[in-house]
Amino acid sequence: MTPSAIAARWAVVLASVLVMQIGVASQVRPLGIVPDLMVVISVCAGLAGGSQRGAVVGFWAGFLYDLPRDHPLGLSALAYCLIAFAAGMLQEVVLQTGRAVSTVLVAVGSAAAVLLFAALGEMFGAHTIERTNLVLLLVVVALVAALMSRIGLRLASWADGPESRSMAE
Amino acid sequence: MAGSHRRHPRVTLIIAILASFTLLTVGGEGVPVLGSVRSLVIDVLTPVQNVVSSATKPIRSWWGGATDYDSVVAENRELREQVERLEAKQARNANASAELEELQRQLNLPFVGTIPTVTAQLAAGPFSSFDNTTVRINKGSAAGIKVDMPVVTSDGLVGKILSVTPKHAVVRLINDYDFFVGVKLTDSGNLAVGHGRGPNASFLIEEGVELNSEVTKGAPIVTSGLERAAFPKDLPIGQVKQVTRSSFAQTQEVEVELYANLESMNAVDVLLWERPK
Repeated sequence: MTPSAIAARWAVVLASVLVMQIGVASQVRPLGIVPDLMVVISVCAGLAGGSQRGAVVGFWAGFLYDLPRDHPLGLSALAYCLIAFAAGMLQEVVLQTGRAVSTVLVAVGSAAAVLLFAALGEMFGAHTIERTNLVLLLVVVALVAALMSRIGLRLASWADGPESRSMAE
Repeated sequence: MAGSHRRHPRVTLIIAILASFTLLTVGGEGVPVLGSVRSLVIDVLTPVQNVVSSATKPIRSWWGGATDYDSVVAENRELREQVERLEAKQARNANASAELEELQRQLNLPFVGTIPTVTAQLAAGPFSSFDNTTVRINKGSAAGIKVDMPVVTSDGLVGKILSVTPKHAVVRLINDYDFFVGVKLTDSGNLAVGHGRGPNASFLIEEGVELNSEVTKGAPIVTSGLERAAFPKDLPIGQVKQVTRSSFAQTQEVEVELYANLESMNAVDVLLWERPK
């Protein structure tokens, strides 16, 4: 696949996930918490396509999710690109990952990204930690990420194209 | 996006980090194009959210009942009590015209005076769990709404406008950490500053109430409306819930029970009022 075709596929995936995030995830709130699908797709991008893909997709996913929200623009972009990059690095180091391992990686990576977002928000004066129940949020985000990991990895692999199918999927 | 696949991942990361920091530095306001894109995204996504919200309401109700049984039971109990109170009230108010008059008084927002208002409905909910102290409304700059305008319900002050697009606006609620308002304690006449402390803590007045001031529980608190204040004067805020003496700061801390129920709002009024320059 050409780079532009991959970019187009990723644009479709990110736009679709954003609509799902705003339309569905923000309405179905387990324990009052809004699950974060954008972070799930970012981590899956890193696991499926490697660290470079993770950094790029994580940045754009975070940027898109920042747009409709009231936080400083770029906060999610920074947190998601860093964690998705780290997920990609981990994937390249570990090489062999079964389904269970990749599910755990998506869950832990998603929770780590949200935690990083909250920490960065505090640094930039957005009072992110005071605005939510952080522990509960991390638990819900991790559980939802684990549940959504198969779909996320399949979407990421589809967007990357057949020649870059990873072992995470 | 994938032109140099796995060639220079660290360079890509550094570029992404720099781009993020650039966005954080310049923000949406620094680059007009970004501000317009933000407005466009909100104006497009809010109706999407409302449509999906309406379509998925039965599923969400089932999900809410299945995962939040305790709160459903509590809500049920509260609603029963409310029904009992309303029945008692209805029995007392035998005269229907008196009730109508009362309702009209509420709708007319007597504390607003001659300030023009715009009534707006709340959108379906926050976009993320970090947005619990803001709400979106379905009116924007096209209706004359501007940033920092006060937002009220018939109970009193609930927030102020944080950002505006042509069709929507975001309200920073009174319980937000960054919400500050000059207040007046009506019993003692004290002028002070109150601020929100997040969704799980009481509104607090911690500056301006000296140790020797008499503050009684239940005393009404209104906006001070001093010269060039951010809010017009005498908007109801709440009543004194608890007073704590802070000998270290030589002041009293006053916890406030808000009049407005921020959890159950469906519509609000935006006061088309701007701070005097």
